[in-house]
Amino acid sequence: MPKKIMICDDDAGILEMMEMIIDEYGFEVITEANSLNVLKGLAREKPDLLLLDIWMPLLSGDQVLKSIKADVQFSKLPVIMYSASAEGRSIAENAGADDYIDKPFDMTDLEVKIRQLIV
Amino acid sequence: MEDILPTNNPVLDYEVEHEFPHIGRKLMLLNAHRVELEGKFKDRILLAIEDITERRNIEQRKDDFLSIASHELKTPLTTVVGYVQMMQRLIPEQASDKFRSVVAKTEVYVERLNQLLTELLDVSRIQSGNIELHKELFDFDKMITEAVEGMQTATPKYRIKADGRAGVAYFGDESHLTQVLTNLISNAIKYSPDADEVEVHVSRVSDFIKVSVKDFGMGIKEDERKKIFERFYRVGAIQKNFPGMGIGLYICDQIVKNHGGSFWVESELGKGSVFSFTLPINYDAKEEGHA
Repeated sequence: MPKKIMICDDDAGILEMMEMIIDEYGFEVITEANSLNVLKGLAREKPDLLLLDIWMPLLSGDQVLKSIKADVQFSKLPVIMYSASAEGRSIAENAGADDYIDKPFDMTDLEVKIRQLIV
Repeated sequence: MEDILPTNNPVLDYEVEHEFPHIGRKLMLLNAHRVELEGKFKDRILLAIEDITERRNIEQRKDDFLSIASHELKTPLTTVVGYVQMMQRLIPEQASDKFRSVVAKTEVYVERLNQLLTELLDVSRIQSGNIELHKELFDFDKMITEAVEGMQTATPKYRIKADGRAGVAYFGDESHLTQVLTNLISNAIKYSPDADEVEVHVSRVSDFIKVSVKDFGMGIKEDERKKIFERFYRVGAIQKNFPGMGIGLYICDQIVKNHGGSFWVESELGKGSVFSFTLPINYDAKEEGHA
């Protein structure tokens, strides 16, 4: 059974591109464009890892991560955050993300980071 | 009089904010000089107060725009970068060299675009005072050697000679200082198309580290020497032949200043330029609020 990865990003273009790339790594992919639905999605799909954008409308990535950490069901779930801004790394660290990557991604770096956490 | 405003110490561009009864809060620029000319105004104070509220607002809006625009452009670029990497991975075995080269070139120029956007984002961050320095102790000489080697590999046509050493562990932001050095070396190469050598010199001067990058290129006219550190400024004569946005030196200057150092240029037209910066070894970041 391939490991399952959930991606949450409000940009449809990024979601589609990442879905293709992560699928290419050999993982199963679920995408979520609405950050308010992440917790529901986690409960339904039980992914092994979450890739989480930081700058999203409605609920930002660090707020999403806060609610994940507050839920015993998911508090151990590995999360990699990403953003295009220089403050992204410290936001991710403060929010308790397991790892962080800058946009645009280097495909190889992203794969390494994912495999470090779940394989 | 000497107590109020000493002759040799004018007040220059001092910002004052004040809440006025009818017109509200205003930001003003205050300049004051002692009149030293012999005559009836001698020893009076010439005072100029300029209302810069509106100007500051416009600057702020421009900076916001810069920041939002460069940030928004990164999102579609991320998608393009992803697909180009995917293309590299999916190139069929039997693909022609021409096809491979097209994909490789696309990757190079997409990366160039990414670099430009990153620089624009850097500028907008510096404007909003958000340049984030991650200071750590690092081996200064090793940083220099690595940056020089990296540039040498990328530009084999030029010989990059490095000499001297700081001989200390320096407390600063290694990646930003590498950016400064890389930028200076690449400028030195860019603006000396007929030369084949660049010199990097490092030394320790009392409590400072001094780094100089010398080229044998076209040089800079005297009246342009100060302006090249301004953001978006480009020397008129070179704009056509040398593409660029005019922000590299501005960023370098800000990074050096954020380390408490100074940055300057000496140049002779037609002979070349020397860009130098100094960094105080025991600079306490807190003195400047760790901007």
